[in-house]
Amino acid sequence: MKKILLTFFALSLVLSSCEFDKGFEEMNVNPSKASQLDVANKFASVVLQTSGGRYENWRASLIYQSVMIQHFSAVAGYWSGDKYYRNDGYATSLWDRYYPSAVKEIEDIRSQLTAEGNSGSEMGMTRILRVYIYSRLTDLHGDIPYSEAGQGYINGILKPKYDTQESIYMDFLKELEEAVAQIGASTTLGKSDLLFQGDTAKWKAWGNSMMLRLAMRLTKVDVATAQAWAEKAAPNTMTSNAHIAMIAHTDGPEGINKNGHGEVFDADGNPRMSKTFVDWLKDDPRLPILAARRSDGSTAIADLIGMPNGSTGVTVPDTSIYAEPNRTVITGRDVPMVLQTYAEVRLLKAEMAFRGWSVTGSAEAHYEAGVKAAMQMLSGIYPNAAAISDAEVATYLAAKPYDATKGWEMISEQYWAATLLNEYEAFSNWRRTGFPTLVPTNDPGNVTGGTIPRRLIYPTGEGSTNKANYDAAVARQGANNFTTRVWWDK
Amino acid sequence: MTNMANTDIVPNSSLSRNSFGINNSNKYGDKITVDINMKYIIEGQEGNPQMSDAPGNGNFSANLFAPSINVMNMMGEGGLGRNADLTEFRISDSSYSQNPWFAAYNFINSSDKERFIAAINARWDLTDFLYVRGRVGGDRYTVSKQSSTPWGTAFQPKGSMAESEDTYRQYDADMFIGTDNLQIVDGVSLTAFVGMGTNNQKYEAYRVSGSDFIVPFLINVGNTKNQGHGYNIWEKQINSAYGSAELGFEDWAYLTVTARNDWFSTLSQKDKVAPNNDLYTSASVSLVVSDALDLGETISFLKLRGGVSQVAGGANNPYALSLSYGIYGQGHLGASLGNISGGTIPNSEITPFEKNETEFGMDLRLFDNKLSIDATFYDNETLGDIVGVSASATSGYGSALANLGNISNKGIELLIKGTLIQTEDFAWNASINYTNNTSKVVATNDAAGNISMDEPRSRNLRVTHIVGEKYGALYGSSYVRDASGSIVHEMVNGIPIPKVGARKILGFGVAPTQLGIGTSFRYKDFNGSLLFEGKSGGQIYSGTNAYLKRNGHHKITVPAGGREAGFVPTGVMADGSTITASIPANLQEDYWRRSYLIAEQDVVDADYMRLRSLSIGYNIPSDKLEGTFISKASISLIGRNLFFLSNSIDNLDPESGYNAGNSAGLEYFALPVPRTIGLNVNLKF
Repeated sequence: MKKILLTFFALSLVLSSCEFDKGFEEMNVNPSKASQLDVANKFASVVLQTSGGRYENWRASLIYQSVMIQHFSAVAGYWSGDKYYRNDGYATSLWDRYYPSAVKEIEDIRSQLTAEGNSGSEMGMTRILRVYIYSRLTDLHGDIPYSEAGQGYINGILKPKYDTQESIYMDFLKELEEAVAQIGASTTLGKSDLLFQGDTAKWKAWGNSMMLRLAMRLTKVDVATAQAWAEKAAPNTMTSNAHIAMIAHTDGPEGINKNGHGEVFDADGNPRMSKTFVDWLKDDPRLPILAARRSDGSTAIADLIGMPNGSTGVTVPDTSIYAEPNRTVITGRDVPMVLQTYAEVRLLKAEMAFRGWSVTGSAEAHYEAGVKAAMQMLSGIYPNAAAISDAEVATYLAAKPYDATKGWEMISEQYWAATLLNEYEAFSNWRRTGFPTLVPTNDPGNVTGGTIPRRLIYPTGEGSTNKANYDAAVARQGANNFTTRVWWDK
Repeated sequence: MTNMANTDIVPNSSLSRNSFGINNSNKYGDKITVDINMKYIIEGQEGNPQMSDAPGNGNFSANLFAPSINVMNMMGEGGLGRNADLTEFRISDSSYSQNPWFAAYNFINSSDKERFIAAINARWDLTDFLYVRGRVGGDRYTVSKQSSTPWGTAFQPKGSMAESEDTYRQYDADMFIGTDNLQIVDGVSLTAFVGMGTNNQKYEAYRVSGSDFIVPFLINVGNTKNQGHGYNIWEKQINSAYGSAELGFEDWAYLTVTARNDWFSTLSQKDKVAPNNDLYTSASVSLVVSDALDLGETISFLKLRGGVSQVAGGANNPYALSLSYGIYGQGHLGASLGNISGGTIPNSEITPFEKNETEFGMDLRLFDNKLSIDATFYDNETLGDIVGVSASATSGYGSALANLGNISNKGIELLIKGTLIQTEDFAWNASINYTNNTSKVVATNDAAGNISMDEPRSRNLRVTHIVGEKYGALYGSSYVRDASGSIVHEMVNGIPIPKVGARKILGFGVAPTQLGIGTSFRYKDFNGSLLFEGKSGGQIYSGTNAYLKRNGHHKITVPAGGREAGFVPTGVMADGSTITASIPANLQEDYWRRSYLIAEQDVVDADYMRLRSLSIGYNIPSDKLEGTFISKASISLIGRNLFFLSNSIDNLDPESGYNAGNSAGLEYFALPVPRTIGLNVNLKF
């Protein structure tokens, strides 16, 4: 008996002297991952995430906005924006994808740069891109998580509050002003700057151009603030098509490298050019560049007919007779994703002049420069696009001269045409200006009472994962539907 | 050696398995025994059906055809769902309406698995009362997978493919010293051991993929325009020290106490403050009452047992304690791409979870062991379970790792077996197996209370753990009802549509009650058995029925007299008036499309009772085999899942939900549990 007890006692001593977790700390470090990265690698990634994948470019950009805004039209029932149907997963696709990718990554970069004490070009560039990312989200949905968003790890915030769009916009403008001021003559990001390849002057121009865009967004709700910020931004914006903010893509090797719109066109043959748009492009040299007949790819003007929005399989038995986005020019997986163009900037300045605000140049001069830039940028963006000559531009302008009595309408319609495939901007500017005057479709299944949506809905799942903040936002902004207007659209 | 071949209910889908095993036991002298087991298994699968959504899932599109359409007309000119040029024979304008034949015969989705299991178990009797025992075991398998979306697929015209090789290995080793049945004093015996052990698991995976085939139908990654690759690795280990002692009194009363400490690599990190290990103990008593007292003729055996126990556990996934970053893809225009890996917020101070249980049981056998009743009552609580608590996607993450609250379970398990008739030629047995469990979310540690789990495609419902409720509530959008319970409608575009009400608890995904009733008989050389199984008390959100209704394929969408006769929804308008307006045929689609948003209509009871198995067999009498080389032979016919006695869900097998565990209660176009009929021939030489 004694022997046994002694044996067990001795064994217990042996056991307790063992280090049972030897090597565990090393084992629990992932050998294939890093604990931190150079900001350059993260910056290249977040730029591509901002361009976006096929998922949200298909759903939020094309299936909803491009057909709502009557750039395109589609018969297929799942192209919900053509007939103002409700499809929750499609309507929330930008939100669903952006927050866990672009938002999370830009907040991570900002936090790292802050920790590293960076207050120069890289921080300025990061802040401008950050404003761009959130501007897409807030323009589409209204009040959104902003000041607390993307900080699940950084600050342990699992349920971010929704900021009012007004406070977000005021912060945007302040951020852009400070960001532009801190950008220096050079950056360490180099090739990782997939927007401007390390050209910090172009970043400054883009920062100011974004300031102009976001300032003009406020003309309906707070015209004084809009004017003050637009006038502050206008002298230092983009000065040529070489300044266009766009992200170059390649056709592979992986999905992340490809233009998300291009991947959609590869998989989905449904989109047609809207009748509204093709009719508007009559006698416009852009028409045969942007459109081609579905059946045979013909770009002869007589063959280019737009399909009316709201069409169904009953009203249009054969959709192949209509024009579609020109598959040899604008639908490639290797064409750039455009965020903001010089043409837009000149057209916004035309509107400033039209309003009598302080800006160098007349409304007419800006209008003509905007139209010219919009036409001539196509061959710069799309390698297969035929160049539009100065003479062709002049002919067009001669036939469609600026008319001050309907100046705002003319400017805004040109803006609408210039933002094809930048559907987020097209939808926002249409909501702000009301131009072009679009005739809504009225399918029996529409959820808007036969009006064009004014926003896309929040994910209703936020009502369970972030209930208190979501409920507060809905109570403040209005019902979570497609007709509630965002703050600047009131 | 065994061989198994199985053909699935989905065309061109099969499974085969070959296994070889060796067992060897050797004695070295009279003190050392060594057992060696080895097993080698080769498994191959072809045409694994793809689940849950349209691409590559023929079952999804087949469910959505108008019932008047004959699937046999979808073979196409090129056969097997193809056009003459071997591209997909499209059955709709939408490239995502998959031709089911094309999905079954042209997609590749196959895997090969090779597995090797070996164990050595050695015992050395040191003295007549003390032994040392050591065990080492290894389990290693490699799974090679190939999948391909073929050239010519409507939604991906140039096709794509992927190949992967996953290697998983696990080894266990332990050593302990112990004593068996040592008589300490007269009438008191001791069985005890102390030891230590380790369990290590490692996984490594390589993946290559490509899209856009250059030469059609040549399935080789090198033949694709865009190529990608991936690599994944993890390793984790648990080390343990443990001891157990059982004291026996007079062979009828036993007291067992155990203690164990586990260390978890998944909970270890430099500078971590919270413990990476946990000590847990148990104590139990069992009394063989029938040996201690004379209970008379009727009671042949009675044992009572009771105990309290603790179990601890670590995090399942390694590397979850800190944030990590990865370089992904193949760069872009000379820049490398890097970002945060994973969508779960790490938690550096995770501790082991604990489960505390109190259990009482009884094993009673009556009438010369002809009737036995085994009953167990348990009451347990799981404290600090390690789970991903869902976060708002706007935080940048889907979930956050946390030690979560307190979930309690109480229940009963009952097994009654009876021998009804037992003669030389005829025997008849029956058994009933009943379990009932009541779960409750006692606390969640989360400020807002509820913990959100998965949601279905329709996104109008979420599996949610709500404090004070049972585990796994189906929390989703409801109807708006008036005081008398009628469904309130509103006029939208001129037709009455049910109003979408607030989210509320619509059901619970985990069925509390299970019942199995089995019986078997033997008459001379014939035998047979029958097993019924069922569950009740749980609910399911049927994504299939929701989608069928939305698309007008559910029979409820055809009113009496046909769609042309008009459809009058049952319910009231907001002012309380009963709906009389009839929705014309062309607007009925709109009605169903809109009412799709209401989850309540598709949360239904998932109660069922089915004939799980039926078998009839015959043993060829040994005298008939005399003179042949066969020593024993039997043949049996076995049917499984033949029919339902009852099933509370329309159009579905209630067992086809795709989520188990934390998100039970969701279902979406899964395959039913197959009905199988098999013939089993057993020969012994």
